[in-house]
Amino acid sequence: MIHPPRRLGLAAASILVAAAASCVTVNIYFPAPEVRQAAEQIVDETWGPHQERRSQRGASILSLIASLLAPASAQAATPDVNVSTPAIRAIKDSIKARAPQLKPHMASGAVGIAKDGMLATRDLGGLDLAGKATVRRLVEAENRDRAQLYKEIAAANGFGSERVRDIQGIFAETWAAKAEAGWWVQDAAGSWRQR
Amino acid sequence: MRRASLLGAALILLLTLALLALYATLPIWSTWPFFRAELQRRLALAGYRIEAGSLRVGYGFDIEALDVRVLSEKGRVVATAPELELTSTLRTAAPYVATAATLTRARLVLTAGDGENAFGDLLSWRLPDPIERLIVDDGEIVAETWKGRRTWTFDQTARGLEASVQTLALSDNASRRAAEKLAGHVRRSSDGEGRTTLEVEVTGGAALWDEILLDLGESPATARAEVPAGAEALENLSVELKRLFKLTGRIAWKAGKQASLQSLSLTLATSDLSAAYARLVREPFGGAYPALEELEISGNASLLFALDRRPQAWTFHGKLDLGSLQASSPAFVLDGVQASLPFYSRTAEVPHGRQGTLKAKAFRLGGIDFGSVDIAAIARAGRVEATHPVQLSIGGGTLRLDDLALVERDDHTAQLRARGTLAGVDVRALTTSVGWPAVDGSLEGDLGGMALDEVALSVTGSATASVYGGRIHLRDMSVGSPFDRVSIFRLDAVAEDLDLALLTQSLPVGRIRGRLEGHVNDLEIAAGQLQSFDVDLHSVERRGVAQTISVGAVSSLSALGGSDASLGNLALRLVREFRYSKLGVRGTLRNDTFELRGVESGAQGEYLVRGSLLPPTVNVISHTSSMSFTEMLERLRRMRAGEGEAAHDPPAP
Repeated sequence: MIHPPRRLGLAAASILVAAAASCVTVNIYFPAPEVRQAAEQIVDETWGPHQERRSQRGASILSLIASLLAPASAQAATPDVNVSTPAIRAIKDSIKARAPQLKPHMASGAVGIAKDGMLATRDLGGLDLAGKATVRRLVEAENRDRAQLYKEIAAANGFGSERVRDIQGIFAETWAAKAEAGWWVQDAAGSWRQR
Repeated sequence: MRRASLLGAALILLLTLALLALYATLPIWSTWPFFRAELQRRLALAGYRIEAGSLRVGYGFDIEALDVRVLSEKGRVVATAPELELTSTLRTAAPYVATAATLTRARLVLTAGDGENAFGDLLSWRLPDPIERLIVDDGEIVAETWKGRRTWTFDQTARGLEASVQTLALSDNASRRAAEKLAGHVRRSSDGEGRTTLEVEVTGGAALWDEILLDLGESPATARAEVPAGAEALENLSVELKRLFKLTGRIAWKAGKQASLQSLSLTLATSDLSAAYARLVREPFGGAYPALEELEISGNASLLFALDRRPQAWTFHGKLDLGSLQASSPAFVLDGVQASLPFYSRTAEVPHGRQGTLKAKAFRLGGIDFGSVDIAAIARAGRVEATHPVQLSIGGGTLRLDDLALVERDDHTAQLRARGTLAGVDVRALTTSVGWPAVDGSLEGDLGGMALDEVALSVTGSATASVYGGRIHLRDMSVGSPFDRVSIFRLDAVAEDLDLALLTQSLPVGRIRGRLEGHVNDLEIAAGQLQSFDVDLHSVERRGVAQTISVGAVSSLSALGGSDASLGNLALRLVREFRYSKLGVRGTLRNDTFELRGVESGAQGEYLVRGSLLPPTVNVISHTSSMSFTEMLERLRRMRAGEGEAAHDPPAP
């Protein structure tokens, strides 16, 4: 015979066990290294061959080190980052087509690479009004494309919109790392430094 | 002992130098009251006065003014601790010993901050980053980063002031708003009762406002406003940019430390929407918004916008009037638009609502003709809604929109909503109008809730196309990023009992007979290309329905990649059609990689076609489970162009 208090105890214990069993933790893996590789690939493709050689060398060294250090099973589980959808290709084409117009302004210091992975107008003092308007329009268009690019990479890989900021952060580091000599880059503290 | 002597000599020397420095600056200290009076006089020209103030003289005789406050005529503090640059001539009797000083130039720099600047009350609402500095310099008024300073010639009279300028340039620090080579005339007059009239005419130069660049030589600007006595308002405001627009209305603000805009009522009108659109919209924003770049628009328009500060929140209302408007782009055409649409913010009080209309003689979207549009609307707080269901013609049928409304959401963004119903749409008319292969059938459905905003066009319901002797159900339809560079069309489709003979008849892939069902989920189309999908389409046996596949169709399936027919080429040439027991594809498209699976897995690979027991029969086996989708499409394209065997399929019996 089970006494009422013991019944209650058993019921409570059963509820606790059921509750514990029903608590499912879902860990979503965000493949930052792969996103970084994707970012390097996209930056190389869109902002010119000058960085392409450097990035390939860097990527291959990184890949070699990673392959030596990482366990085989981990490598096998590493997902590819999807960066070849029609949407991403169209945005990349747009960014690539705009690059020759923007690069002279990057070199002059009128435009710099901001810490958030976007472009920012810095010093338009040397330009006439038409030049200032052109730079502002180019920067606005570029930043809209970049914002959609980060969003599409997240969507194409099923990361969810909450990962767009992470992707943007990785791209920010990549754009800055691949800046050409003479370009201005904003550091984490918000100060502008010339490469 | 010797060290003590040296130390004493050094001390004496330092003391002497200090006394000399003090003596040298003495004229400045002593003449500060004079400086201040001079400054007062110069500031008074611009309607300001100075209060308190002391001087500090630094090394090298730098002069720094301290504790200076600049006040407006009404006593309001417009700047505290401004920079004061004084240039003086020191008369010296001996090196480093000044005997007298003369003020040759006084330059006061007022630094704006938190709306407490000279412009703050008037412009801080319109200019979140206003001109940061005002320099009053003996009749010259410039901003800190203004270039090519021009002395304004003041004609100060009892009741007025006139000034002209020829090559004025100005800019804020970030160069977001700037002007160059401005030429014009400014007049300020009073009527004797304290009512002041301001008139500005700009006949040359250029102005930049963020991305908008205006050639003021091409579109001269005139502005006029009246300031009533004791009122903090601009009345009878009129700003006109020739050939672009005219802005009229009234602006009221509250001065003081908590300076703020109180109300405005402005009407923006243009009789040449084409020019205004080109200069104010397409040129500045077309690069970022391709849809704007492609849009051509003409006609006339007028927008009334009234804003009021209420104790709890801002409230606004207005009215949009459009006349003879025509808008066209590769995506759509709107012709003969006449509209009068009032609107109110969520916070507005609109007891009975206000009537409006929107009419268009023709509306085409994506090649589909929707006929004319006639909407009677009513504006209420936070929404403009159609008073009756809106019926649009489409492919001989109708698209009915119930509860059509433009709604202001909690975050103050707008969303267009409706409940849609499709009825009696002729699929042939629809497919041919958008340039697709003609398909016979009908389309209808309850589209459910439809919503369009900046993020997406979404449809909660579904539509069913009765085509190819079966049905295709379309659901979870949406268009993502509808106004961005790349819009993404998404849907799920379920195929039910499709007649493969009819289906393949309309496609250049060879002939297949049988029935097909399955689904295509998470289909995404971006930039006109398939981006991703999960597909499972397979044949289903039906009593009395033959299951055959032609040589051309076998070739098409082979071209999907890596697969070949298990019969030799000779057999393929001898037999026109083969029997099959199962046929289909399953797979996913991601990242341009098509993972292909067939209807059966075997030791040799994936069966796309499983032959029947009775000859002539064929097996099509894919040995490649993963392939580039772009390359696969290219193979199919070449085949359609006549390079492949499918093009040589004999006519259907």
